[in-house]
Amino acid sequence: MADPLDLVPLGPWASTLVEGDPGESGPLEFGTRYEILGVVSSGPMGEVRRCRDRPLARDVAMKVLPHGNARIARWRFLREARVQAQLRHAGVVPVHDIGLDGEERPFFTMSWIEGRSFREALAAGLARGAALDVLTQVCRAVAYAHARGVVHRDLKPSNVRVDEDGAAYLMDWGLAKLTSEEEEAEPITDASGAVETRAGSVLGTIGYMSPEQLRGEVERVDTSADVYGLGAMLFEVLTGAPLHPGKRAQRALSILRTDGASPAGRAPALTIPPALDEACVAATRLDPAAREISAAELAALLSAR
Amino acid sequence: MSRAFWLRTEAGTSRRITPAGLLLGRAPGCDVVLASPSASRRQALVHLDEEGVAIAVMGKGEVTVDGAALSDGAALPPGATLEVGGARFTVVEEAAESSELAGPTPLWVLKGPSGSMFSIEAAAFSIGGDQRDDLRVEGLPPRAVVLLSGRSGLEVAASAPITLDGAPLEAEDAGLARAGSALEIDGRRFEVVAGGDLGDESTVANAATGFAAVRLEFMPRGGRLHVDDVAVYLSERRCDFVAVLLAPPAPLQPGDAVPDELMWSRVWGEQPAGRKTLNVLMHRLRRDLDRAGLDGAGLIERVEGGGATRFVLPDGASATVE
Repeated sequence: MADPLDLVPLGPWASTLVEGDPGESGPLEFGTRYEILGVVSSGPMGEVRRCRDRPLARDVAMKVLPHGNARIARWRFLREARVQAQLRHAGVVPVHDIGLDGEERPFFTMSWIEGRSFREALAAGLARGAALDVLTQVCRAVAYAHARGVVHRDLKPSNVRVDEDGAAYLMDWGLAKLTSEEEEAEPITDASGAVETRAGSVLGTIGYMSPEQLRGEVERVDTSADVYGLGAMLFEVLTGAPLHPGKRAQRALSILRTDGASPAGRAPALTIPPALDEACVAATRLDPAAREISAAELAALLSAR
Repeated sequence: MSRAFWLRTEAGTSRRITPAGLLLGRAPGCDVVLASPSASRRQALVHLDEEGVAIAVMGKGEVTVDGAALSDGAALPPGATLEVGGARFTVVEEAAESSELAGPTPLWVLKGPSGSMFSIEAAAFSIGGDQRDDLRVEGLPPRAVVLLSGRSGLEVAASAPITLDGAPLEAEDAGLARAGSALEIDGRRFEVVAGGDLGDESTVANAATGFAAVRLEFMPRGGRLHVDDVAVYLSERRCDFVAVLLAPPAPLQPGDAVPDELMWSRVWGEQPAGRKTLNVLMHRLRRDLDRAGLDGAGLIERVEGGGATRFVLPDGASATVE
């Protein structure tokens, strides 16, 4: 049975909302509205906290950009929130709020998803059928993003969150590339004048990123780079082992030397459906133009299995 | 997949331990704010060092590791339980699936057999006999070697027999080349040159050590060095050493070469510490900077002929000590 609604107690902000009396400290300011329950993860590009949104009596995930980040990182952070907010899909976590926290750091909040990452689920031995269900949902979310002109660019199991009912959410849109003319026309520069996605930049995760991303060929990165990431995840789900294992340089070497990875070829002892094997080969071609399958086609293939 | 260290609370939330360290204390500006009134404003710093995770005690109040009280510093092996200011934490080590970001990737230069040089930045660089290789060498298989700029060196993996600094690199392994390392591929010798060692004021040198601001923030023990967006914790003497380089006594200016005699008196007191002690400290300091993704050897420079050290500041960069 679903949890009963939590409507009491209303708390000190009730006078603001009911009586129209803001009080001395402005009761709906950041520190009053959100109670920080803990830090879930942290890294150079942001910290994710679990917070209580007191007036709405619900938990949210709050992403905060640490102090000291350059203008370029703040711009990327804002863009991440906007991209995620505008992608309204069952596989994308809704964004609720954006602003500056009590220490003037940019933050945005999104729904709290009780669950674990796809990486954790795979490590814990998630059954192949359940893992393919997760991947099907990820393919649908990616196909939807592609239809809206968004390339995720960092698809990997740790960027997928799976809730207790098996629903999958694609997270971390911080590296997303927009194919819209607006962004092309207005490159963002930092204080030194360096363009955001300068030639030679490598964005993504070595092991799941496409060969063109690894080579820094920014202009060649489009929706087929995401197809490669989906193919790498499909390979891992089908064989139970990463497509590109080893240390960082070994993974890089493997990416540049593998042209179409066949799960059946790598794991002949396993039963791999031929249609999924062919899809995996097509998705992991070295040349992006040779990846003759889309995220939508992958989703259809996976749901028809 | 690289390894990452986390500080996990009893509630199960975790915070990643970075080279800059996690400051634990009662002050709101701490990375982990302790609610207990018995905690100091700045109680302890958990940071990465050569061996893994370590703690430096900064304030009064009890700090224990696996039940033993600490007064100074100690290593924190994975699984260790840390109790500070009434809160309990566990150190967790796990594989990291980290994203590559357009951050301060060091720039490396590869010097070929004929003396020609090739720069290697963020993107993977391949050597092989194919038209898709970045450096085409006749007779080699395609993608024989891949080089990847990393935070602590140039990472190397090979599908053909090669040697790295004279030792064969197995096909199933990866190696780490540093400035001065030699790669031998099919009888051809390549030398790895650090960005700053090129001799002329090329863009390579600027890319390796270019930044706009450097700031040293003193803490009760040691301090944090901030180079633009990158921060690293430096223990006491290493912090003092950098402080002298960034704020030397007049008439010296930040970035000027500081004579060893002056360094000895400022960092070790009046007793001359000896060249070896100074070199060991400088080596460790550079390693700290390397671990944070900075170019240690490019930032902390010995003046030609020895006898003095300087912090290499690009033109227009600001230096502050707080």
